[in-house]
Amino acid sequence: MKKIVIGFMVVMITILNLYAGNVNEARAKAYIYSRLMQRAGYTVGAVKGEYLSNGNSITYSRYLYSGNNYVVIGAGDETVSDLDVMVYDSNWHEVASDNDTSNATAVKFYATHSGTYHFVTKMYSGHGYFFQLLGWK
Amino acid sequence: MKKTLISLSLISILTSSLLFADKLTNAEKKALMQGHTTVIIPTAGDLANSLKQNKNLHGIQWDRFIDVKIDPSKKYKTQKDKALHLGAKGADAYFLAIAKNSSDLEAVANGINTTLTKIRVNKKALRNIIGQENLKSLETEVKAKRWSSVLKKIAKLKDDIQFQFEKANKQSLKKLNNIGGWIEGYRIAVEGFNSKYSQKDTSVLIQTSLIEVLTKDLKSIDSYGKKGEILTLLNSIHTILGKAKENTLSKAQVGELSKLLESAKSFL
Repeated sequence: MKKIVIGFMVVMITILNLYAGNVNEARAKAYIYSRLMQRAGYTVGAVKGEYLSNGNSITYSRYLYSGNNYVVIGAGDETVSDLDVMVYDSNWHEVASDNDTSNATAVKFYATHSGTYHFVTKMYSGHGYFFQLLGWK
Repeated sequence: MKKTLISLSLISILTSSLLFADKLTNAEKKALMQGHTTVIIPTAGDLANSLKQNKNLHGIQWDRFIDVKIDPSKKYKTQKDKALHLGAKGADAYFLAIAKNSSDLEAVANGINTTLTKIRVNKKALRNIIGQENLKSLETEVKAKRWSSVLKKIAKLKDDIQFQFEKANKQSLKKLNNIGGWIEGYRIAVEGFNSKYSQKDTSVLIQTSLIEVLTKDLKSIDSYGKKGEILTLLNSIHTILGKAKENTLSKAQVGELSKLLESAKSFL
C-alpha cells in the first residue's frame, strides 16, 4: 500500500515536472489540480491567472455562502519559488492560510457565514505566473 | 483505494508547513483594504449548494420556482439581452440540478444551447467557439442523473462562457451574464424562503456588499435599454436589506423581496 502511494506521488510529481519550462506550466498544473479537486467532490469555480513580481501580492475578493466547504489551490510556474495565500473574511480576520515555501498553494476552509472573503496571494520569493482555482462543495 | 489515492494527493497539496508562517502585518492589511482588489462574482451554484446543505430548508422544492418555458413574447434582441438571459438560465440549471429534476434541466440545457448559437463573439456563434463537447457531456450526465457531476459540468460551461467574453474583451456581456445569474439565483432563493420561512437562515439573503458590486458593474455598462429597470430593482433590494435586524429578515421583508423580484421575470 505504502509503495503504491509513494509510486503514485512520484508519478504525479513527474507529470508536473514534465511541464517545467513550458509557458503554460502554471496553467497545466492548475488543470491537474482542478481534476484532483473535482475528484474530491469540489465544483471548480473561478480560475484566475496573474503575473506577480518578487515581494508583490494580489487580492481577489469573492462573496462566499455559509455552509459550503471551499478550497483554494494555486500553482506557480518554474520561476516562482515561494507563493503563499491567505484567506480573510469580510472583517479581515484570517480564516485560512498556506505559508509554506513551495511554488504551490492550497487552503481548505468552511464558510461559517456568508459574506465577502478576501484571498491574498503573495510572491514571497521568485516571480512569474500563477493560476488559482476556487472550488466549493 | 482510488479514493484513498485522491485524498492523499489532495492532502499532499494541502499539507503545508506552518513553521514558516509569516502573516500579513497590520500595515499590509490596511494597504490591501484600501487598495484595488479584483472582485469575483459567485455563481448561483454556490448559493444553491449552500441552501441545499441547510437542514432547516430541506423539503423546499426549488424547481417549483423555475419556469422552463420561454415566453414567446419575450424578445432577446441585443447581445446584452442574450448574455443576461444566458446567466439566468445558468442559475436555473444549478437549482434544477440541486432539485434533481432531469426533465426540466434538459429543457433548460436546450435553451442554453439555442442562446449560445445566437450570441456572437468576434463574428462567430459562442457555441461554435466553446464547442459542443461541454453541452453534450452535460446532457449525458443529466440523463445518467449523476448530480454531482452535473454541477461540475454547469460550472465548467459557465467558466468557458465567461472566459470567452473576457478573451474577446466583451466586459459588458461578462458582467450582464453575472448579473442575470445572480438575480435569477437570488429570486429562486427568495421564493424558497417565502414558501418555507426560517428567520435565522435568511441571513444568506443579506448580500448587500455583493449587490453594491453588481450595481457598480451595471452602471459601467453603456447603452443598455434595461439598465434603468435593473438598477431600480437592485436598489430596491438593497433598501430592504438595509432594514434587516440582527442580520435576519422578517417574513414580511421576504414577501416584499418576492414581489419585487417578480418583475425580474419580465426581463430575464
